[in-house]
Amino acid sequence: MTMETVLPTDEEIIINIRQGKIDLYSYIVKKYTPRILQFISSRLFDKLEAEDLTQNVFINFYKGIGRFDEKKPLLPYLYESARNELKMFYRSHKEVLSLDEQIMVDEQSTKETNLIDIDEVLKDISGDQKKALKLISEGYSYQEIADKMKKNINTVRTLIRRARLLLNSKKTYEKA
Amino acid sequence: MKKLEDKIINKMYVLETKKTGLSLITKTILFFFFGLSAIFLTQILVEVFFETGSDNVFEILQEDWQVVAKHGVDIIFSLYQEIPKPLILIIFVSFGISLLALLTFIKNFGKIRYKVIALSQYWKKGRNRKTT
Repeated sequence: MTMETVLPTDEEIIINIRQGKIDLYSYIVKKYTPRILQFISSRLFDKLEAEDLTQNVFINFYKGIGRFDEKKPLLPYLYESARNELKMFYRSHKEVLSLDEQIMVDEQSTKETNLIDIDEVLKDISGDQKKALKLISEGYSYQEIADKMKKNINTVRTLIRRARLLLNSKKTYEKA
Repeated sequence: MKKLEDKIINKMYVLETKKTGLSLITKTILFFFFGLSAIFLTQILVEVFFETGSDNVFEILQEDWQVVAKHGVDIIFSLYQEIPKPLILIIFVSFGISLLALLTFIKNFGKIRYKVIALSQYWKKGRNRKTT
């Protein structure tokens, strides 16, 4: 007969960390590092930079753990923090191009591109597809979305695939 | 992946060691510095009191309580006139800061204890890893 070890919830861990039991922070690190690293790595191809940003996410969370509402889910907060780290990284590594008159002339002569209004596109997408797209953009996994929407995981995959196909099928128009 | 996790945890412990260390040192300095200052200044106040002869104000306490009650307000008023007020203020502020440092430490004692235990265990494990 095997005894299952009951792991503490994120809420319990955070409450205990605030009371001084800082060794429990390793549970959070081990649980979420793979996902945050994967999220950052998919947007940043430098492995070392991705690891640095991942470290920043967890250290910043630790510094602000006193202000975090333990009742809210932790993963979306970490994903948001990772997005902010990526934004700051891109801003600090923006290439500065010298102003070239020829570029300006070329830009003025090119035809205007007009992107389809995003609201118009989303109007054609069903409620479930929209909801699934929103959750996947917030960083939830397919299994988590299936649990939230109380649907089968294959149904969720189909909803997201169809929504993406619909978005891709909308073309950008060029005005003459 | 394990290397990255270890790096994160190590950074966290370094951060917490600095934070906890600084907090303990600050509270200790505040408590002892202001506490001892208050005691020292109180000693000076008592000496000043005796040198200026203000202690004779208390001679009236040897009289009957009816006399004391009648002249009580005058006693307090004359005492207030004679004592060096800036010194009294500094003594109260020093005692206040010292007491605040002590009370804050007592209030957070449980949290500090857990942190110190966790930090010492982590760094001890780290030292053992290096020596083996």
